[in-house]
Amino acid sequence: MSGVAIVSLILAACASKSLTPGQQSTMENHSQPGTRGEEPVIILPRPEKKAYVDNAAVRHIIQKAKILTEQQRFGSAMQELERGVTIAPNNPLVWQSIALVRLYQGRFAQANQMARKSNALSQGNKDIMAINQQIIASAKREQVQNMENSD
Amino acid sequence: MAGKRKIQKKRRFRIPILPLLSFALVGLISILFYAMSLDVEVRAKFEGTRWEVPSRVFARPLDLYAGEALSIQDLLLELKQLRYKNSLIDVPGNYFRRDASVYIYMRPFKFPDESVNATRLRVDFEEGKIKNVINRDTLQVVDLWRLEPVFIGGIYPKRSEDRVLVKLDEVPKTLTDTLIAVEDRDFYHHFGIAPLSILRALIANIQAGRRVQGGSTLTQQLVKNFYLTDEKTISRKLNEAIMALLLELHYSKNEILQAYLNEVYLGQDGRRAIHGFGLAAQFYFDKSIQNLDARQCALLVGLVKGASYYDPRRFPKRALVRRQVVQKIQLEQGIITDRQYKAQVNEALGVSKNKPSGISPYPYFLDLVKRQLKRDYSSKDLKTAGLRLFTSLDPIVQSKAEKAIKARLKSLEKRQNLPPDTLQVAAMITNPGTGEVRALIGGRNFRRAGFNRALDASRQIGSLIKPIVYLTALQQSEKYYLNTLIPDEPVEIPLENGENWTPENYDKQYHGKVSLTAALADSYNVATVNLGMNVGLERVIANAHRLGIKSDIKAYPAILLGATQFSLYEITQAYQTIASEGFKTPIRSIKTVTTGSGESLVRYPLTVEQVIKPEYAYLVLNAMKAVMTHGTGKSVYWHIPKDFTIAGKTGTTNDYRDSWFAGLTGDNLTVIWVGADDNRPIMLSGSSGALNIWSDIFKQTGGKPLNLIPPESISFVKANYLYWEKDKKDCITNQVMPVVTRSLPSEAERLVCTNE
Repeated sequence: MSGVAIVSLILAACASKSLTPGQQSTMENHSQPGTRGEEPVIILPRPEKKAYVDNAAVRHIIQKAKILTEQQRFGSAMQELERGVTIAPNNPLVWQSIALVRLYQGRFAQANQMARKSNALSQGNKDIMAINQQIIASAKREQVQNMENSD
Repeated sequence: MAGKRKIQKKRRFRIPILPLLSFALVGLISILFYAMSLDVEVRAKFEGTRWEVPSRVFARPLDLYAGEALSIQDLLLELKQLRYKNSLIDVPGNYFRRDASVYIYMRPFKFPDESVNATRLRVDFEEGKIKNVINRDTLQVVDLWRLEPVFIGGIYPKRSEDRVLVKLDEVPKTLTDTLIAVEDRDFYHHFGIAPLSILRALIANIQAGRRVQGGSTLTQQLVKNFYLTDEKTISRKLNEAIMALLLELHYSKNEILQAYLNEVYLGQDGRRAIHGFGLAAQFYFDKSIQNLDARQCALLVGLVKGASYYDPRRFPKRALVRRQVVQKIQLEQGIITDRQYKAQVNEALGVSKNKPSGISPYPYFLDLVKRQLKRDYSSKDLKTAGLRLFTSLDPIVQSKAEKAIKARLKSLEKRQNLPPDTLQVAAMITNPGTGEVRALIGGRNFRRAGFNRALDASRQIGSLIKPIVYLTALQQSEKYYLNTLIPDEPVEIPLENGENWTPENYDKQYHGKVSLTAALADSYNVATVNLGMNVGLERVIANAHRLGIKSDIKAYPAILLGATQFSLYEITQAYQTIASEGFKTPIRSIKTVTTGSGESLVRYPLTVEQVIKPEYAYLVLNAMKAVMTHGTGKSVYWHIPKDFTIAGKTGTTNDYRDSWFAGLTGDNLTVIWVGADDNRPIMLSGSSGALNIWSDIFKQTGGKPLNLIPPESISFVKANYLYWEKDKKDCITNQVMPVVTRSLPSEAERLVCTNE
C-alpha cells in the first residue's frame, strides 16, 4: 500500500477520534417489514449507546502510538496500544489504531482482523466504520497483490 | 702423572652446560605451552558468556491514570509487592500515604520500550478511583504513568547461582573505592599479582600463628572464583598466579574490576547463591546498586571477607563490627569525610527485614511462562542467558484470588464434611480484550510447584460445554432465537452399541417446552440434548475447535452434556473467544523478552482472528447473562449488586465430581474448577462450589460490569420468554430481545408463550 494512502487513512482516523460516544452519528432506528411473518415486525430503537472508556489515558496512548507509527517504531506503537486495550477493551478507536499499525507494517491479515474487531465495537459510528472499511479493503487488496506476486 | 691427574680432576667438575641448557629450554617451552593453554582458557571464558545468569520474570507494570478503578489499598498492596518502604520519600523505593493521596518515589526502571528515571509521584484517590496522577518533579498532571513491574521470580540453572549484571559506570564510585581500599589497594598498580602483599600477609600470618591476612589481589580472587576450584595446593596457586598475569596482559583494569563486581559471592538464600554487588544491593537493601549509600557500600564490601560468617540477617552484631572496620578504612582513605563517618558509623545496618526471595511466589504461573517460551527458547537459554521476561501477571488479582480460594476451600470442606485438603482447585483469570493471563492457580498449595491442574488436569467439563451447543443453534438464526421453545421432554438417543441413552436433568424432572435462554440459564440437560441433536453433533464439535479447543472430541451424544475431558486452559480459551465478540484471541502470559541489558528480543503481540460472527457471540452472551439473573448462577446476586452485569455458566459433572464456573465481567474472564485429584465425588455443584469461589474473588477484586456492545447486525424486538419457575411455567412477556437483523422472527416466534 502506498505511504500516501496510509497517511491519509491515519489522518482520517484522527479526525474520527474527535467523536465521543455521546456525539456519534446515530444509526437510524426504523421499522421494517418482517421477513417471515405476515405482520410487520416492530424493531425497537437500539438501546442507548454504551459508553466505552475514552479518557485522557486512552487518548494519550492513541496519540503516542500515532507518533511511534510515523517513526516506524511499530513494536513500541503496538505495546502502547495493547495498554490501551487493557484500559479500554471496548473502545473501537484503539482497535482501529492497531489495525492501522498493522497495515503500515504490512501485516495485512491482522490489519483486516483488527479493523473487523473495531467494527464489531463501533456501535454504528459511521466515521469509524468507514475508515475500518478502507483498512479492510486496502489489506485485502495488498494480500491479493502479494499472492499474485508470489505466483 | 700429576698433570694427567689434574686434567682428569678438572674434567670431573665440568658443569654440563649443554644438557642443563637443553633441560631449561625444554622446561621453558613446556611452561610456555602450558601458559598458552591457560591463555586460551582465560580468554575464552572471559570473552564468552562469563556467567550463567538466570532469567528474571516480571509481572505487568501497573498503569496509573485518572479514572482507573483502583483503591488506595490496591496501590499499597502493589507497593508492598514491589518492596517499597513506607517512609519519607527522600530516596527512590520509598512511599507514604497522607489522607487520600499516596506519595511515591519511583525507582528507575528499564522497560522494554523506554527507560524511566527515578520520579516522585503523587496519586490522589476519590471514591475508589484514581482522581489524579501528578509528577512532583515537574508538578504536572500526567495522563498515564506506569510503576515498575513486580519481580515474580527467576528461572535458575542447576547450580542456582543468581546475579544481576552491572556495568562499571552504574556502580557508585564509593563502592569501587571502598572495595579497592579494603581488598587490594595496589589494584591499579600491580600486574595481577603483588609479591609484596604476599610477603606482608605471610609475615602477618606467621606472627599471628594463623591465617589473618590474604595476599591475593582482586585479579587473583577473580581467577580463583572464575576458573579454579577451592582446593589449596601449590599447583592451583601457581595456576592462579599465571592466569592472573594473563588476565592483566589481555584486559584493562576496569574490565577486570567489572567482572569482579559481578562474580563475587555475597550471600545465600536457601539453594540460591547471591553473586555480585548488583543482586546483593537488592537482596540486602531492596535497592538498585546506583542507590547505595556509603554505609551500605561498606557493609557489602565487608561481606567479601566471608558472606556467611558476616551474614547481616543472621549475625547482625558481627556484621556491624565488620562494617565499622570497613568504614574506618573509608575514612582513612578519604572516601568519606570525618563528618560522614561520625554520622554513619553507629547507624543500624538498615538491611531489609524480609529477604526478597528468588523463589517465585507464583510457581504455577511461572510454569505457564516457561511452557509458552519453550517454543522460542531452549531450556538452557532460559536458565543461563540472563533474559528479562515481561509477563501479564497481575499480582494484585493473583494474591486476592489466592486469599479467597484458600478461605473458601476450607469452608467448603467443612460444610461437606470432607477431610481437610480433599478439595483441589484450578483457576485462570484473563483479560477479555487481550487474552492476557492476569492470575493462574494450579492447585491449593500456591507456593509449591507441583501438578499444574490449570494446564494439565484433563477433567470432564459438564455444562460448561452448553454455551457452545447454544451458540451453534443461534448460528441458525432463521430457526433459533433466544426465546425459541426447546422441548425439555423425554428423549431416547440410539447409540452405536445398540443401546439407548436417556439423558436426565439434575432435578430428575422434565419441564416441557422452555425458551432456549431458559434452557441454558437453568442448564437443562434434556433440552440441551434435544437442541444439540437437532443442530448436529458435528457442528457443535466444529464450533468447539473453532473457539480454541484443541483436544480430540468424539462425536458421542453425551458430549452435549460435557462428557468430554478438557483442561481448564482449553476451556478458558473457548470462553475467551466468545467473550471477545467471536474473535479468537490466544491466551498469553508473556508480552516481551529482552536481553539482560534491555534490548528487545521477542514480542508476543496481541493477535485476533474472527472465528464466529460477532452477532452470534453477542446472542449467546445474552443467554449467559440470563444464567446469572434467572438461572443456576443467580445466587451470585446475594453477594453483589443486582445491576452489576455478569455473563456466566455453571458446570457440574456426574456424581458431583467436578464443580465448574466460568464468569465474564467487563475486565475479567474467570474460569474455576473444584474437584478432587482422585476423582471422588465432592458433592458440590457448579453453583455451590466454583461459583462461591468466584463470588469471593469478585468481592476482593471488584471490577467493571460487563458492557456488551450490540454489533450493527443486531436489532431488538419485543418478545416473550418461557421459563420454568417454582415447578410451574412462567411466561415473561414484553422483553427486549436481540435478534440478527437479517433473520427477524415472525409474530408467533416472538410471542412464544402467550397462548401456552
